[in-house]
Amino acid sequence: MNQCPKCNTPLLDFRFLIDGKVEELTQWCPSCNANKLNRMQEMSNVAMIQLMIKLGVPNIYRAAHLTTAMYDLSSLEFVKGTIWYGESGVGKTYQMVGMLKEAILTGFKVKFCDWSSVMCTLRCKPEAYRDIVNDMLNCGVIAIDDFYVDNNYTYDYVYYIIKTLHGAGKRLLMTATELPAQPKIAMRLAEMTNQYEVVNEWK
Amino acid sequence: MAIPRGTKHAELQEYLKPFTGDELELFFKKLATSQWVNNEYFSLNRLVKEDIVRSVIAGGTKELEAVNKYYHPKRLVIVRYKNEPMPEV
Repeated sequence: MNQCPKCNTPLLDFRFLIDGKVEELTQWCPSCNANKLNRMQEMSNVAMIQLMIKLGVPNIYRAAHLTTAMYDLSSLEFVKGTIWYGESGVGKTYQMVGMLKEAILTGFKVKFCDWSSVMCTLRCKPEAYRDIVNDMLNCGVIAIDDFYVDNNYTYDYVYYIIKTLHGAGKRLLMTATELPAQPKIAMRLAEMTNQYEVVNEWK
Repeated sequence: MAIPRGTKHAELQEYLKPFTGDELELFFKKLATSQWVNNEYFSLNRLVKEDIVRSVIAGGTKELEAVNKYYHPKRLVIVRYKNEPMPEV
């Protein structure tokens, strides 16, 4: 690891979201450039919140970030997607939005979907499924909040969406109360993602 | 609905062989009330290709275990503190 010629601090790489674009600073000294890095971090945080609003991320998750446990467990190279599942309120969506922010800083175009809203659209207007899929195909990383396939009426559409995303090699971030059990959907999701059961340890 | 002939007929026979009489009876019972039967693209050929008998009779704890063989989940423990404030935006 290279060191700063002035203070011998190891040089690091930084990524910020400035004016809607990812700016990468390679081999910067965190001590000598502390003021500038702090300023850029603040600007990046504001830009990220604005982007979360634009993506439709609910208010309580806009400031989310990955926990250390998730950093340790997951490769941030986005080779695979991730499913977080578990009871309501354990922090699944929080983790997902944290990962979504990492994806943005890695340079991916992202989409956030509230699955219940997608299902409402499909029930009212089934032919909208092509627009939903095309919208998703325009992005590299798709985050689906609260995924479920309980409804037989919409099963074909849901299967088509998952099959298309699988075929297109998209990275899927997903939260669900439980892992979807339907074999054809399960097979594809298992191939596309790492799965984590989220539990809380209260202190 | 088109009745398969020749090779397709043989494939259908081969596909249905492993199922017991009870399983097939359950399948037809469930099929009568399922969405599959209302699907205009439903055919006996599709029944073989997409393994619809297993899809339709699936359900219950036992099948869930079999289905879960596809997943390899890990447990993610998140430490939280009582009276933890909500994140500020």
